[in-house]
Amino acid sequence: MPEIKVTPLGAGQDVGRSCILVSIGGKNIMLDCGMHMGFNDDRRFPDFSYITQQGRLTEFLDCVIISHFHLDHCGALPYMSEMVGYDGPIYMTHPTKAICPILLEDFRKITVDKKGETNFFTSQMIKDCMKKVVPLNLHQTVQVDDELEIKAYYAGHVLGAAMVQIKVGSESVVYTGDYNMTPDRHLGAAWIDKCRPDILISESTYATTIRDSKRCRERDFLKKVHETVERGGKVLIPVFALGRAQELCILLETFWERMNMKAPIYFSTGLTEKANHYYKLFITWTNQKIRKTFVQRNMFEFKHIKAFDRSYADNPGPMVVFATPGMLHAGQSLQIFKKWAGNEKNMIIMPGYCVQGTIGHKILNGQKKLEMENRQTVIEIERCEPGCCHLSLEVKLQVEYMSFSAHADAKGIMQLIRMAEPRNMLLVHGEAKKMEFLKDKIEQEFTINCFMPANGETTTVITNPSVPVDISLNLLKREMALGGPLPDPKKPRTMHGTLIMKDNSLRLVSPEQALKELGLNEHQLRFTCRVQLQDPHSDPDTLSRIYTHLKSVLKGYTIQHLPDGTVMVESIVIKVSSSAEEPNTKVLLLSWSYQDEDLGSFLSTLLKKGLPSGLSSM
Amino acid sequence: MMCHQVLQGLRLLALTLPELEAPLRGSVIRRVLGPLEGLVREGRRAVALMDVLLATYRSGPCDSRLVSLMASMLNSQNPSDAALCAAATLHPETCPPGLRQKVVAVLLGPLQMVTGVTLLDWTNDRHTDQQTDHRHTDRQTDHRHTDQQTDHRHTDRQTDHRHTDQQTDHRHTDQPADHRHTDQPTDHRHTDQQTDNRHTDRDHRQTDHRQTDEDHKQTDEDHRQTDEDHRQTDTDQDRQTEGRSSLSLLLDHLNHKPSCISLLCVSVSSAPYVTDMDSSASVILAVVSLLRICNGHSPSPESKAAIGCSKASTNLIGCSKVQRCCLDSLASLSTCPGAVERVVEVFHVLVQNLQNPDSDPTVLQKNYQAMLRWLSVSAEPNSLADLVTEDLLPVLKKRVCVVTDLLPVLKKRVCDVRWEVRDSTLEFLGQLCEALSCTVTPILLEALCDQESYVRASAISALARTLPLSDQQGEPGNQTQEQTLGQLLDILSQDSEGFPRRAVVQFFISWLKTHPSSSSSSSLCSVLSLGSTDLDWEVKVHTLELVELLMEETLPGHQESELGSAPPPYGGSGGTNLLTHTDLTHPYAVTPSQPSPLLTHTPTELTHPYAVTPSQPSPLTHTHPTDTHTHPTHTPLTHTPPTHTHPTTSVVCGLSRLVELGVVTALLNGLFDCDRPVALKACSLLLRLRDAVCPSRSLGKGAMTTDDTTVATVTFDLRGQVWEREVTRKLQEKRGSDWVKESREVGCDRPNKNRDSDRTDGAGSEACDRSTGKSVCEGSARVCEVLWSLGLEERQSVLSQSSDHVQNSPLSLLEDILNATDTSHTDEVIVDCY
Repeated sequence: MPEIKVTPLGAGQDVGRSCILVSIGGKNIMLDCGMHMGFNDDRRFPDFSYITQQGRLTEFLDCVIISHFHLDHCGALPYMSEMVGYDGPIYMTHPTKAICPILLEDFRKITVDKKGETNFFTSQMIKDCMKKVVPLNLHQTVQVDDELEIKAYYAGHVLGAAMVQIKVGSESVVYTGDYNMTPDRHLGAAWIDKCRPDILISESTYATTIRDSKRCRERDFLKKVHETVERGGKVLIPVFALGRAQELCILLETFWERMNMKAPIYFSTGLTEKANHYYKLFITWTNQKIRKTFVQRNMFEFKHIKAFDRSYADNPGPMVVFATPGMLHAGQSLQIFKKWAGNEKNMIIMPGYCVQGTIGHKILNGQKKLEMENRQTVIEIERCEPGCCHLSLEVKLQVEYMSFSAHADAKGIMQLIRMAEPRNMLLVHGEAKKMEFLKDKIEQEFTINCFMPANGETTTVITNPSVPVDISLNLLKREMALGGPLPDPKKPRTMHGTLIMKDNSLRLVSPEQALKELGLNEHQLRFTCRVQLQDPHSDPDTLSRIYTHLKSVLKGYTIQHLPDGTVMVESIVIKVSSSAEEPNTKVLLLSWSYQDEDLGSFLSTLLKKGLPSGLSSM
Repeated sequence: MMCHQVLQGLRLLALTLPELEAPLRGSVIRRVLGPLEGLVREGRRAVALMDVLLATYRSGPCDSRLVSLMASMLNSQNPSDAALCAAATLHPETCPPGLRQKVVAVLLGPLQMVTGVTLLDWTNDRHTDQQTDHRHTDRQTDHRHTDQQTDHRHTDRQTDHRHTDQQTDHRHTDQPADHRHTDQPTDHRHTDQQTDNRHTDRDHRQTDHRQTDEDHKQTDEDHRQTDEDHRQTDTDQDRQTEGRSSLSLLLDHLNHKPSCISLLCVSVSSAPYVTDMDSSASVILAVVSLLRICNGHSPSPESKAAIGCSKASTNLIGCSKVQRCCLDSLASLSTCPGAVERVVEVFHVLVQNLQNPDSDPTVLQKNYQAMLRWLSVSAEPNSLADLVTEDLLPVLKKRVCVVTDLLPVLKKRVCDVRWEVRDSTLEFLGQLCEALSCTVTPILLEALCDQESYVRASAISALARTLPLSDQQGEPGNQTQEQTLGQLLDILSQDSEGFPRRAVVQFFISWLKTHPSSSSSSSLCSVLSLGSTDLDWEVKVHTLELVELLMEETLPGHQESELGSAPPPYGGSGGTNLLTHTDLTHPYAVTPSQPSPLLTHTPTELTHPYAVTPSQPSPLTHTHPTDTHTHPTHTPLTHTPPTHTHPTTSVVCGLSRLVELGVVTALLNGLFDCDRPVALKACSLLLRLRDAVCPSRSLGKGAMTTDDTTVATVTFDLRGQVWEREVTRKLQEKRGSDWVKESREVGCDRPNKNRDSDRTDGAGSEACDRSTGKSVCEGSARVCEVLWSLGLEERQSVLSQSSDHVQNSPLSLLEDILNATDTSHTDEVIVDCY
C-alpha cells in the first residue's frame, strides 16, 4: 500500500525551529527550515544530517517550501542551502521572498554581535539563497515536476503567510505553517478548500486556549498607552521590524487620529520604514478593509508616526517609541530602556516572545533590579566612576506584557479541520501536553487519527488511493440506455467494461472498442453443462415438457421451442438426448454465453431438481 | 522497501562503527555481517545499507565477505540504487580497489548511454551486450505484431499474454467440462504476470530469473532449440541474462522521466571524482553533450547514442536539475588534464545556455560560475600554446571569438526581467572584466538605477572591480569617473536599502587601494560623514574599514621606510584657499612625487578651523595619566630616528589631514554607536590613532618635546554632533581629575588659572586663550586630549564582551532559575512566539 511519511526535524512537540520532512509518492519535501530562538548552540538549526550522511541534500529533496518569513520558519534556510548545500527549488510567496532577506539580515546582525559566531552565513549567502527561491501566488497550482504539484492558500498570521497543499497523484498533504482563523487589523483569516488531504499538518501553538477577543486586548493596550501619555510618561514598545509593529502602528495611528492626541510617536530604525514599504507593496495580501480604504488613504502611510533619532530619547514630555530589537538584548531598544527604566511614570509594553536570559525576559518575570556590567551606554547615563565593573539598574517603569500573536486557537484549529476534512491529522509547533489534549479532542470529534510525532520520529500513514479512470462516452451512453437510476455520486453502481492500462493512463471502454483498439479478434466463450434427468418420455416429449415447465417458471423471458429440437431461453440452448440402453435417463445439454451466466446457472440448478410430474407434453 | 526500524538501525550502525575501538569493533562487525548479508541477499539495496558496509570497510581490516557484499550491492538490478551505492563509495577516500572499476562502470554507464560518448572500455560487457542484443532482435522479429515499442520486455510480455489467452480459449472450446475449473488457471496467469510486472521495478534477481524461465517456456518451437543450447552452458547464460537485464533495466530507467533525471544527476555529479587522466576529455564531452540535450539539441549524429534513448533525451529538455548538476561538475572538471582539448565545446555550450531564453536563473548562475572556471583554463594555454602544439592555436583563436560572442548575450541578460538573472550577470561581468582586463562601465552604470537593491549593489561591486582597470588603460573617462563617484555618493545618501550603501563604501575602499592619495578627498569626506551616520551597521563597519585604510595611508607609522627615503617636498605654495576640500594630496602617500600644496611650516598662514595651530605647551600634557595601561603598539615616533624631515611635523600633517577628512568625527560617531561591533571597531581604531599620534604622557613631563605639543594642538569640530555633550563632559571630568593630581604633585599656581577658564568654558573665543591651554573653544576640541579623556582601554574591554554576556553570566542564570520557580504567568510568554 502506498504510504506517506512525516518526520519533524524541528517543531515536533516543540515551538521553534520548524522543519518537517514529508515523503509522499516517492517525493521528498521539506516544509519550512527554521531556527530556534531559544538556543545559541547546535540545537539552533535542524539536524540536516538526519536526511543524509553525505551532504547530498539536493539529491534527496525535491523541493523546500517556506510558509512565512518568521525566523522560526526560515532562519536556517541560508545555512541549509549555502553551507550544507542544497541547489534545488525553494518555494515561498512573493511577500515572503521580499521580506525574508530583511529578517535574515537582522538575525545575522544579532548573531554576529555575539561572541564566537564567526562561522555564520554572510549577506552574500542570504542573497544566493534568495536567488534559488521560486515565488508562489495564492491558489496557483505549481508543478514542481511531472508528478509533484503544490498550491498555496491564504493563512493570515503575517503578511505573505501561506498554507500549502502538496499533491502527488491522488495523495495529498496540507501543511498550515502558522495561521490565524480570525481576521485582525491588517490581515484576513485563513481559508482553504474542502480538499480532503490524506494528512493535515497543523500548528498547535494555542492547542488548549480559547483566546479572548482581540478587540479586548487592543482596547486594553490603547488604554494603557493613553494613561501613560496623559500623565506625561514615555512608552517604549520593543518590536521586531516586521509583523506586529505594523499592526500596532495602525492601531495607534487611528487612535491618535480619533482622540486628537498630540504626543509624538516614533519608529526607531529605517528597517521598519522599509517594512512598511513592503506592506504597501503587497496590499493585496492584507485584509479587505485595508484594501478598500487604500484608494482614499493608504493605511501604512502614517501621519502621526515619525522616524526616531537617538537624541529624542532625552526630550522631555510624553512620547511613544517603537524600537528594535524586540527582546531588549542589544541595540536601540536596550539603550532607550536604560534611559527610561528609572522613572515610574514610564511604561514598557512587550508585545512578543522573549528568550530566556534577555533583559526582556527578566523584566517580564518581574525583576526589579538588573545587574549590568559597565557598558558605555550605562556610563553615559549613570555617570558611574571609571573602574567600577558592575552597576545595578532599578526598574521602576511599568512593565506590561501584551500578546498580539496571531495564531489559531483550539476553536480555530477545529474550524480548519472542518474546512479541509482531512483523513488524518498531525500536530506540530506546540507543546506536548497541550497537543495531547487537542489530539484527544480531535479524535473524538472527527473520528480520524491524530498524530503528534516528536523531533526525529517518523509517522507513517497508509493511504488508500482512489485511482481515477476515464470512461468512454459510448459506454456511459449505453449504460444510460439500459435505464435504471441516474448516476448518483453517493451510491456506488456496478458497470461492465474493459479496462485498458496503457501509457500511464487507465480507461474503461466497451469490449468492442477495446478489441478494435488493440486489434484483437473477439472470442465467444460458451459454458456447457450436462444435467441428467429421469423422465420416461421420448426425447421430443421431454423437451416439450421442459419447454412448458420453463414457460411457467420464467415469466417475462423469451422462450422458444425451435423446430431443430432445441429449446432456447434467451441465448441458452437446451438439447435432450438419451442413449439406447437407458432411454429413460435423459441427458440435458445446456449451453450459454458468458453474458447469460446468471440465467444459465439458474437453469442448470433448476433442471437438476427434475421436472414436476403434472406437466403435459404440449 | 525497508522498514523504518531496519533503516534506523542501519543509520545508527553507520554512525557508531567508525567510533568504536578495536576489540569491540571486531565483535560488532562479526555480529552484524550475517544479518547484513541476509539483507543484501533479500535484495535490500538501500543506500543506508551501503553506508554501513562502507563504514565497516573503513573501520576494520578488509574482509573478503564484505567486499563481495559491496560488489553485489553495486550489481543491483535497479540502476538508481546501484548508482547511489556507487556514489557513496566515492566519498570516503577509501574504495575497495577491486571495486573501483565496477563503481566507475555503474556511475558512468547512464551518461554514456544517453550521450553516446564512449566513456567506458567495456570489452567484456560489450561481448555480452552484443549477444543479448541478438537475442532481443530475434525475439522481436518473431513476436512483434503491430506495436513498435522501445521497451522490449514490454512487447514480450504482451505477446505472452496473447499466447496464454489463445491457449486458454482453445482449452475451453475443446473441453466443455466444468467451466469454473478452466477459468481459474487463466486468472492465475494474469495475476502472476501482474505481480511480475510490479516487481520488476523493485527488482529481485530471483524474479527476473523466474521471468526468464517463464519466457523460455513460452517461446515457440523455433526457439526451443536455441534455448536448450543456452541451457547447456548454464553459467554463461546466467551472465548473459544479467547483462541483458541490467542494460535493458538501465534503458527502462532512462526512459522513465523521474528515474532518468535522478540517475543522471548522480552520474554527472560523481563524474569528476571517477575521471582519470585518460578519460577526462571524453567525460567533459559527455557532460557537454548532456547539456546540449537539455537545451533541446538531439545528441550529435556521429556519436552512436544508445538506441532507444530518444525518449530519455526528450525527458531531459529544459530539465534544470540535470543542467545544474552538469554545470557543477563541468566547473570541477575544468582542472582536469583533458580540459584544454575541450575548451571550445565547453564555451559553445555555455554560451548556448546563456542564449536560451528558457534557462532557469539558478542554471544561469551556475553557468557563470562554470564559465569563470573555464576562462582560467583557457587563459593558461596562451603561454603554453607556442611550446606544446601548433594545433592549439586555432582553438585559442576560436576561444577569443567565443568570448567576444559573449558580450551581446550578457547585455541582454543584464536587462532580464528576473532580478536573479540580472544580479548574477552583473556579478559575472565584474569577475569577467577582472579576469580579462577589460571594462564594461556603461552597462554597469545603467544598472545603478535598477529597482532591486541587490542588483544595484552588485553593479557597484562590479564597478569596484573594473574601475581601476579603466584607469590603467588610460581611458579618457575622467569626467565619467567624476560622474560615477557622484552617482555613488547619491546612492550612499539616498538609497533606502542597506546593500547598495554597503557596496558604495566597499567601492571606496577598493578605490582607495588602487588610487592611493586619491584625487578627490571631497568624495571621501562625504563617504565618511554619510557612512558613519548610516542606519545600517554594516555600512558603519565598512566606513570604519575605510577609516583604517586612510589612517594607514596617512600616518607615518606604517611607512617609516618611505618616510626616510622620500622626503616630501614642503613648499611655500600653500595658501589659505588651498585648504578647501578640492585637491588634497598627502605627501606621505605612496606616490609622493607630487608637490603638496597643503603643508606649510608657518602656522600663521593657516586660518582654517581644523588647521594646525601651534601654541604654548598645554599644562595638561605634562600631567600623569590616571590610567597606567601599557600600550601594545609603541608610538612610532619614539622608534623613528630623526631624519632630515621632521617626523613630528609629518605626524601633525597626518593628523590634521585626518581631521580634515572627517576621520576623527567618523571614529567618534562609531564609538558612540549603539551597535557593539561598530563601537568596538571604532574604539580599537581610536586607540591606534592615539598611540600613533598623541604623545604618550606616561613618559613623564620631561620627555615631552615641543613637537609633541604641536601635535597636541590639532583640533577638530564638535559642533552639531550627537556626542558633543558627552565628549565635552568627559573632557571636563578628565581635566578636573588631572588638575587635582597635578595640583597635588606640583602645587603651582597655574592650575588655578586653568580652573577659572574651565568655568568659562565655551564663553567665547577669548576663552580660547593659548596661554591657558584651553582646548575646547567654540565647539572645537583638541584631538589628543579627547582621545586621552575617553577611557578607551576600559571601553574596549567592555565592548569586547559580546552582547549576550549578561544573559550568559552565572548571576543571570541564577536569577532566571529563581524566577522560574514562580512560573504562574510565564506560560503564555513562552508560547507567544514570534
